[in-house]
Amino acid sequence: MKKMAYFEWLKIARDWKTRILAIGFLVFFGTFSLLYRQQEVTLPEIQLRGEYADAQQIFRLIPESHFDGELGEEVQRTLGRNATLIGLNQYILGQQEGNTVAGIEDVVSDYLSNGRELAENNLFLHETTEFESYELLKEVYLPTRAEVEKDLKFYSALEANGLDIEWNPLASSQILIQQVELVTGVILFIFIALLAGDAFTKDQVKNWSVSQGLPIPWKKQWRLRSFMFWGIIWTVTLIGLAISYVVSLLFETTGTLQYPIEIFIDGASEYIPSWQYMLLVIGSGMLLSLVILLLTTGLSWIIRNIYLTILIVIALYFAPAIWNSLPPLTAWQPSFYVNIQGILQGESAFQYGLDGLVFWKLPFILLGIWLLLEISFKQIFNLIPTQSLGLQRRKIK
Amino acid sequence: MTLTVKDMTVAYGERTVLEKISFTIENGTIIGLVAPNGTGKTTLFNAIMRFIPIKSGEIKIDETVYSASESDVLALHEKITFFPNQADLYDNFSGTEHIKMYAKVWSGREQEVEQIIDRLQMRDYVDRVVGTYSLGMRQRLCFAMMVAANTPIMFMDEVMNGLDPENVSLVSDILIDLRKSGKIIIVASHLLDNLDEYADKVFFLKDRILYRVNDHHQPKPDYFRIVCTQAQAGTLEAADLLPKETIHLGNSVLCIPIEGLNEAQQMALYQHIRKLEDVEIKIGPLGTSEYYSHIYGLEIHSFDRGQAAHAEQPDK
Repeated sequence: MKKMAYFEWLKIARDWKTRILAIGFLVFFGTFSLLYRQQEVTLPEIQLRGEYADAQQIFRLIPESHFDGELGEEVQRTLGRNATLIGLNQYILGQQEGNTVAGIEDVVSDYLSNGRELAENNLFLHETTEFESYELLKEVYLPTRAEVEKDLKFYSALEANGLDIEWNPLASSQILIQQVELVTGVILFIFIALLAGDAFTKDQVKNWSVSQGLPIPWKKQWRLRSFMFWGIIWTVTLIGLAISYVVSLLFETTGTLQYPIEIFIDGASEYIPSWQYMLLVIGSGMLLSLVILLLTTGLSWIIRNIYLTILIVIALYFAPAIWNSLPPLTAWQPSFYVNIQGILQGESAFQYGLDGLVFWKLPFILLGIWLLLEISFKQIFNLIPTQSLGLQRRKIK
Repeated sequence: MTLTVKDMTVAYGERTVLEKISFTIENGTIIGLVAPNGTGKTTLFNAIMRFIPIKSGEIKIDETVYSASESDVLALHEKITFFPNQADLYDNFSGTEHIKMYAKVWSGREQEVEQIIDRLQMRDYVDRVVGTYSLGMRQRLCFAMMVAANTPIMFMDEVMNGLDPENVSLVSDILIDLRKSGKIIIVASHLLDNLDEYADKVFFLKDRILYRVNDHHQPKPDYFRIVCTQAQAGTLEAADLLPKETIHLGNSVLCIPIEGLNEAQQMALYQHIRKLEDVEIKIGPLGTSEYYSHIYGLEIHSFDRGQAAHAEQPDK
């Protein structure tokens, strides 16, 4: 295989389509932070303004009489305190200084203390089942217990690392996280489909007599080409991410790559630094892309039509959604693992009610699919790719 | 090394293209493979290379049978190379890169690439991308790739296609050198006279079978080969001088076997022919082109060089 590697690389590198796609995606990834800055984002401060309005609204919804009695008064006091805490945190975020505001620390306290107190208050309100408007409170005001606990873990993670709350959703680190999530989604499938959709097609249609009869198994050529495309895709993607990050540093606050990000482990949410989260996303994306590439280059050997191959590969991104709409068989169902972000952050586990949908299963699932592809293509590559009669079965005596 | 094909039958669906083809070729042999277009020359190559499924038959190199299994096909492909179609070359590769690719994949003798380039007189264009080449340049490159691969068995399909006489001669010389180094080479070509210059045997395919084999190392009968008009041929036939084995090629060539005639009969026939006006006569064995015309019933030796048309033009 080594003796052919250089020439296989030349075929790919000299193809105008490869060059245009590589440059196009590099420009897109490299300028992502600039593009992202153009979009409307909701500042956390504005989000809190909404929460503050809700906190005010709840007083109008609960009948005055329900606040009578010891429990009622306690609930009223807690709701009032919550409104104050939200207001204070909104102010802190608005000042864009960090967890507190210099000079008036005694007045506004700090974001984490306020947030933790708010979360603990909400946990207390969850306990007030005897309160007459408890159901209303739960329905229109209270976040779920799981969400409250998640908030507490988030504040603890910030505190443990000595970090400030991020007021700027356009901070470089925040854009980078968004971009990492984007490049491992449908964009990855599009990149793969366009780049590798004709991996073998050209050889079989335009260069048939030069590319046939080599004493090198198709299986090895298949793996070689897939790895080469994989290298191109991730070189372009990683360079693009780096450029975009550096560019964003020129225009925005840096943020921090230590910022805690939620990850779903063993049936519960934990927070890990964002650089670790991004490594997990990219690592998973690399594994997923390799499997999709093997499938794409293999399909190009069978189909010999780039448009059909592209269609099938992009459909592969959406097809799992159809499978997922059926009652799930097991948490090992491969269709769940196309959505890397959903698996990592636990959204998939929550959506399908399967606590077993955890990220560590992803490499095992992908290795299983890879094995399946190896077995399938071992059979497929036994067919003869004739010049004009398509694939023909060998008659082995 | 010996290449043996035994009872090979190839069919596209219900249509049989080759039927029970059998032959054995020893090393150091050049075989000319001739037949009109669409008769199965390329199919024969494709079948031996296992580029198409074969219905029945056996392919052997020395005493080893190569089945259609993946491992056997790969082993077969290490020993045989197939002449690339010049239209299939990579337009964005240079000639040198093509030659190096074949050298690296098969022989591993990349150091000989420069020598091959010089031998085939490709130096002035070989480093340009193939997209800029003429048909002849591409054809020479394809041949250079085969030489670089240096496999013991080579299938040269339409190797002389698009080459000028000088390059035909150059390629022919190299084919002769390759034979000296012990290669088994099958050359499919329509340059029939050229084939006679180097081929050890010529295979004729017709009606799906290996119809005839001309062995150039065996003694061949002599003929009077006469280029004449149909009327002149009729005169000779009327004189009852022609043996019944006389071959009529197309509308203008008579091939008269003289082996069965004694010296007096040969002289009588010769004198009769000499009485005819404007007749060309050659004495010797027939070449591949004559057998080709005879086997496939072609009128390739047109005797009408336009005299009639000139004669009809009014004087100016």
